[in-house]
Amino acid sequence: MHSPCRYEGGRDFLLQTADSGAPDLRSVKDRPSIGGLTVRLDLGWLRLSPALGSSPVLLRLAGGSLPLLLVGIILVLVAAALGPYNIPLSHTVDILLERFGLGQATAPETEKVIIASIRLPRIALALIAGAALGVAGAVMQGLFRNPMADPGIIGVSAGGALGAIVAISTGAQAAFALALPAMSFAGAGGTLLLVYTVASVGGRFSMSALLLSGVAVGAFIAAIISAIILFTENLEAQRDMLFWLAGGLDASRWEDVRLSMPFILFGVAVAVFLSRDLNLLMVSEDEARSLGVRVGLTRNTLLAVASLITGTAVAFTGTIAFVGLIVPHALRLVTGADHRVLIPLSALGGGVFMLAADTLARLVIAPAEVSVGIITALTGAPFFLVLLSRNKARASML
Amino acid sequence: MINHRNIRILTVALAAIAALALTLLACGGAAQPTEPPTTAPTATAAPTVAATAQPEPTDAPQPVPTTAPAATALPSPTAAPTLAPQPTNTPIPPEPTEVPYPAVPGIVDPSNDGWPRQVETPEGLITLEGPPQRILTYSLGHDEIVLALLPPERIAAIGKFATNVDYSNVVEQASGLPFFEKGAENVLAAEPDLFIVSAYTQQDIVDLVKEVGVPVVRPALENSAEGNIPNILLMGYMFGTEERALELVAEIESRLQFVRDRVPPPVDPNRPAVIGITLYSDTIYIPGTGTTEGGIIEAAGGTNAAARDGVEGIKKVSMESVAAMNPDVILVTQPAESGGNDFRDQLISEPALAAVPAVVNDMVHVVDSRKFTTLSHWNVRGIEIAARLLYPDRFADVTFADFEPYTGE
Repeated sequence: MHSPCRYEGGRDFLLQTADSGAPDLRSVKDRPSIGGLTVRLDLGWLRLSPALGSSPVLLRLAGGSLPLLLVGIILVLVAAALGPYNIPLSHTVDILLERFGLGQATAPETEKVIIASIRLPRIALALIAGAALGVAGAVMQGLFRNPMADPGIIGVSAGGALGAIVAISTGAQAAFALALPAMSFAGAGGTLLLVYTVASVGGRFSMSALLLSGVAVGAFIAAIISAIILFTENLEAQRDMLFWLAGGLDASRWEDVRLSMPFILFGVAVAVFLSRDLNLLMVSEDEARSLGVRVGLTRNTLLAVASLITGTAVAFTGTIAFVGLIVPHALRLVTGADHRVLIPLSALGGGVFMLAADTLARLVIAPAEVSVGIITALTGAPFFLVLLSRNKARASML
Repeated sequence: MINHRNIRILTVALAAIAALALTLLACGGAAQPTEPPTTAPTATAAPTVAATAQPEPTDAPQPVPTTAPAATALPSPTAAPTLAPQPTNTPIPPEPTEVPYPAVPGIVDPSNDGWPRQVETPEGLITLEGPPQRILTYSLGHDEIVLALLPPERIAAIGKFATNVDYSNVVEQASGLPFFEKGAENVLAAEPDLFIVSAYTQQDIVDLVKEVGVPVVRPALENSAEGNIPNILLMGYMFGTEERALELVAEIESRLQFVRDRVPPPVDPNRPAVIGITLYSDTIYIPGTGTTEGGIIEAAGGTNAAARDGVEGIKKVSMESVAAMNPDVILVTQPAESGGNDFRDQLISEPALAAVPAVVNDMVHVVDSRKFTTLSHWNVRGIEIAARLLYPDRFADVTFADFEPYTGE
């Protein structure tokens, strides 16, 4: 029987089976690489890893994915069918089928527009942004070997917010529709570079220095944001900033989905691709290095993709708390800490959680809405506590 | 690995989510975002004008609205209404009388028309030894009322929002006055002899100013025109400008009655469905019950579609909700140059609203937001503007004018 990956003394991380006790620390030296990154064209390792014993990764992945997929599909249907504009279920089904090229819906044009141009892009963006935050959280928690890490821990979310605030305060948003997401994205990337540079001063990089510089830079950026808001003379712009900071998916458009999806899919794919190396990094950098992992490159790549997808999500949805913290943590309690399983499931779980929260946000006081961040906090925190209390023994190992 | 234990955990967790959702539903939106900063206060919000206050227009004398305590206490108008539109109805003649000053909340002894006099607000009982000469207010709503009751030379300093053309209805009067920045020290530096604060003023600022011995009063600001009548009368009494306060109140009542007489009664099912709407950071906000804009819509003869559909306060909604409300008229209550015009264009070209009557009939209007969001008597002008947009034929012969500034004793 498989036992969960675990931290021991905050350092050791073992993938092993209870019956064999064999750690899955096979050398990756022999695998081909591109630019220093290990390339795994052979998926045999995924199916036959000796560390997984009777619980192959694919099996665990499937076991975790299927319920999430099922819940996700149901949620998509519910979110597409329900809203303040009353659309008969039969019309909803017809319109959805039409969107997939199956038949011709006879529903009124307004109903088609509402489902196709308002509800569906919102659903898609919720899934994508949730996946991004879930994966970014899993990666950050793995890199920092700390289950309380979240995508904002190194100030990337704050940097994205600063970019958006600058876009609003300078009027760039009004002049160019994509200025806000572009500047938010640039803010997130710039923050990562700054934090990384600060953490590398003296030529010696460490994750603890990265964490500390991230906290410092994050606080600095938060102060700048407050100052910009306070000193903005234009009250309309001031309102814009405050409301943007509250986050939300209520203005989602297909254009947002089209723009964000490539970055997020790419980032998630890279994270999945490097998930095994992340497992090894969690053991120790020396151990990983001895097994052929290009530690610096892998770590930096993971940091970059986590920041990329966080910045992208923040750019299009604002700052939405709890998703990146709770989803990977909760999934880790259920499925274990093997990132080959955890990262894909965090993508699915994050998307499903965000969609569920947004659907609730749309419906609880319809036709008005509440901020999705309120829902993620109200539902996520108790959910997290239930899991924690029922898994004390396992939690103590995480 | 997913085992039975994990399935149980997930089941418990999903049950927790469902329970929370049900709790939220039962609370009816207890956890809600705060309203935009310049919206009406919730703590002191009065019922909307039309919801409870509008009598049906008849040829008979109109009953006094029951939600305006000051109005019920008032005798017949004691001052000539200065209604700018010069309504075609019989004008109300000036009727100088010796009736006592209305007994509105806050005036300890309305029969005392001399000095010293006492007033009591949430900041406690204060005694005014004589007419205050250096008055300082801490909110735009109070600025607008004070500038209607007093000559500018009796105002120590004024907040800078009073000269902001997007928000203030008293830009001209305020522009010649000294400004002060927020904060207790700046307040004290202006050397006021009466400090007027609102429900939103930080208590620590109030306490600091009080410690120095400056009298502080906190008259209410209501989001309905009629609801502010007692506040205007209280302030007139505090300043020793009772006659001017009575004139202003008479003008407000006369203007409201003029509109009321020309629009259908609240029970009329043919009232157009109207929404006020703003867009901030791509998020749409709509005023429901208990809001200034909602009260204006109802007083102007419309049905606030958001309130009808259960929206309370100012809430964010989706474009889908706008379509579901199916309004006949949309009033964009956002400064035209600060996004109002762009938002109007967006609404008109929004495919989801293509069948909405307001879009079909070209009834999406950007209005002067200052008069739709103010907490002073200037929202009467919002009612007049909205009434004209809703019923252009009924007001074709009328020219509405702004309130005149105070011109002296």
